[in-house]
Amino acid sequence: MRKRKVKIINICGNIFSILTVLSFLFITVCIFTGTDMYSVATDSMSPTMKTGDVIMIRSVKTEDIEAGDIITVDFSDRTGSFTHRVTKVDTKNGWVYTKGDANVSEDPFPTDLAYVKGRVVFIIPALGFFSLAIGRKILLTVLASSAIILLIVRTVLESVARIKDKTKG
Amino acid sequence: MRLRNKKWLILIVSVMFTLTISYFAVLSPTTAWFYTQSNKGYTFIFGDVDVDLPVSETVPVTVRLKAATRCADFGEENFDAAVYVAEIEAINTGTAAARVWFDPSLPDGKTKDGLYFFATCHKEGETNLPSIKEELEDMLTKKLTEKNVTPVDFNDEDYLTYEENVIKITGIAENYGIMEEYMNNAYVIVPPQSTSILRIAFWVEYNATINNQNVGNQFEINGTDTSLNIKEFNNLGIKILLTATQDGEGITKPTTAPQP
Repeated sequence: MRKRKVKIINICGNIFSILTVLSFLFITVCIFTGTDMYSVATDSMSPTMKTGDVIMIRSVKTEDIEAGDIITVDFSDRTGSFTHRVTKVDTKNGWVYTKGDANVSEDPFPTDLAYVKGRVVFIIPALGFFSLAIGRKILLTVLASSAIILLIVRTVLESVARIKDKTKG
Repeated sequence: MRLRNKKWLILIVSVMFTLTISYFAVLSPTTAWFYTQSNKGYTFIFGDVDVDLPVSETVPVTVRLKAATRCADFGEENFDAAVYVAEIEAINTGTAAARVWFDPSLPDGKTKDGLYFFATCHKEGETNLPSIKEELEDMLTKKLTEKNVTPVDFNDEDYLTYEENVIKITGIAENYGIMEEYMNNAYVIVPPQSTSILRIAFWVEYNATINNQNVGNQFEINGTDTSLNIKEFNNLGIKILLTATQDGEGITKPTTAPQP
């Protein structure tokens, strides 16, 4: 019975390790190929994309943008971005008109083509809920604090162990 | 597998796992305008912004206006009857500030000559809030009588007042087209968890409407100092288009009109 439990644990551990390594490699490839990822925060593009999905975007030349493409655009003050479908490209004036799939009408105003970050190439469902729920700043604070605390605890435990060894010796 | 190698493997996988989870956890969000449209008003949802803009009249608005002289009747009954006031509440129940753009227009085929607008915006709960007609009369008294009752040049910056989170369009336009262009660029900011009250008054100027194709029923009132022909405009069909966006430069409005 015990051997069986150990076997199951080993199998689960191996599966977890393989998935972790594959995910890590996937992210590494994305970073090196210039593929950005964003979590979708609103439902304006449903059913194509829903809140909580992750989108992968790649940069695109303005002359290659066509009606029907889904693009991610920076806010002009760079405080965020939005993702909508292209309805029309006005290359003469440098504007792109967009519309959310779930919206009745086009977006109120067009956007400068210079602010287009890229075109959506892939959508991963539900992977973005974690980042949306926690919030970036909070998570970074928690991670940094946890790392510092673990480091301190480990240092203290190692010091205690060394002292014990010396005492025994 | 040797115990030492296994420990190293666990360590490497743990680091990979932490980095992977951290990467997905700190993804930047991408948001977008999300708005719906209905005859009862407009509901806009953007991220955490949720703005309800109930419009008391359905689109198109059926308005019966009595034509009035330019400012001869302010404070008197004839002018009061001539002014139609649309009061709109913009309620932001979200956690981010919103901008509400307002854009009045007429259906195709209707002339715009002689149609005037005056708009203000206040925060809900402001004390001693004047009625829009009081504000309108105040504006007319100050501006038009100063100018000897001649049409106001709408490009004059004196007629634009900006206060914190409030925009007041206190000028009136002789030409509806000027007002339409200006109001297309006008917005009010509605802070989160608050209500702003937009008030838009409009009326039809008497002298410019004699030959106006919108003329409907016609009445004459004699026995006053100035014998007025009171005209009614039926089914003017003024539409007030409201657009709510987040308070930011997410989508920048073109500063110049696109070339044909």
